[in-house]
Amino acid sequence: MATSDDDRKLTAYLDGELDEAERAALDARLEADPALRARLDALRAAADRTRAAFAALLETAPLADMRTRLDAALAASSARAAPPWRRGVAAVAAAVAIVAFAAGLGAGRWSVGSDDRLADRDDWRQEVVEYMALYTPESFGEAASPWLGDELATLSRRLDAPLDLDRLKVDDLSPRRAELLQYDGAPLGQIGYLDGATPVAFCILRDGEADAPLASSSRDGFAVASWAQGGRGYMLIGKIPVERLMALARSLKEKTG
Amino acid sequence: MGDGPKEDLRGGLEAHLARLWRYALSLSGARDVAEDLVQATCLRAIERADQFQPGTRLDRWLFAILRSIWLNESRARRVRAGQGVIDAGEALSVDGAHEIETNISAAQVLRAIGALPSAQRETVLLVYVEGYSYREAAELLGAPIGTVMSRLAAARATLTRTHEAKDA
Repeated sequence: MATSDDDRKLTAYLDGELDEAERAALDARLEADPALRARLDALRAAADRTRAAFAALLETAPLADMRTRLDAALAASSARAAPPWRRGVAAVAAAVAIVAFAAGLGAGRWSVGSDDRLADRDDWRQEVVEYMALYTPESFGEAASPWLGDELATLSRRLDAPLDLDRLKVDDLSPRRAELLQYDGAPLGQIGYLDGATPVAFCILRDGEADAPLASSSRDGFAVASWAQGGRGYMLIGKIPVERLMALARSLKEKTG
Repeated sequence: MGDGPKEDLRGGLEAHLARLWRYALSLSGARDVAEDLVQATCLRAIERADQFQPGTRLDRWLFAILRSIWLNESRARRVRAGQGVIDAGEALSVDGAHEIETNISAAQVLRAIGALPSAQRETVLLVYVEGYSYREAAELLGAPIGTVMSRLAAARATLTRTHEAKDA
């Protein structure tokens, strides 16, 4: 579920990270819109509760233990002039601590992997939004790439998805080029179209995302369609009217699903 | 160069132990691992004492070291197959002996934060608890500022939803 633009603006507002113009614009909207004000209050409270809870957590830090270990570490480092095998007990204690740490790492005691993917689900799409701003119509060349067939074959293989040219033609649009990128070690396919003079990108990340229905959002002036299926996250993005983007997205989703 | 920088570092490390531990706990979800992570951070900071620029923020430097150690170790761990997944919400909230007994609502909030995706949880800790600006957090996390904002907004929305559901 992508975060709404309003939530993002309200968050930046609460965090003092909007510039003067943006802040003034949001203040005007807040004055006129009680629902938006209520949302602001609700979101503000979340950070306040967080701070209070973490302040309470700080009180439970095992300071005595950590001070003892720190003293041992500092003593050990003072004896650093001697080669390792001649360091004193304190140094050995420090070395043992590191071994214990490494052993603890292997004992399977914390979550890894799966919940990182939940953040990636939106993070990678946000990165695409960021770099879309760099594209111009000329970025996609005068005509479709002569290697488009090969490029698509590579994408199909790495993304384990049927991405042939016919499937990727939607409405009057035909792919101009296709690239294989990566995000956090997972293969990311990007297929570029030109809608008139406007770049439109179809991005597919094979990251094992849970299925998600087609959703529309708007970020930084781009219309964005996102969904996930079969362990892949999808995204269609461009500065074109949202109705047109969603129609294209529905076709692509059907043809590549 | 005598022991000057090291002595300064001793005072500095001592002063930041609890906050380092809290950051480590939010990353690892386990108290004993958090302690070990703090210890490893102290050792590396001592080794690199002469790389610290006096006049700059020691806590930011230490947090960056801790994060780097955590990333390397958890990446190495991801390579090994068959790791169990624990409920980060459970681990981060409280374990028996350390129950924040008089502060039930804090425990509930910590549980909700533990259930956030790890990237959001870390960003929340850095910006809302440790006072990093978006720019500082983006630099430490190696992520665009927009990503920092998205994570914070998503976290606020989830925590609001959880809180409202609880009250409903």
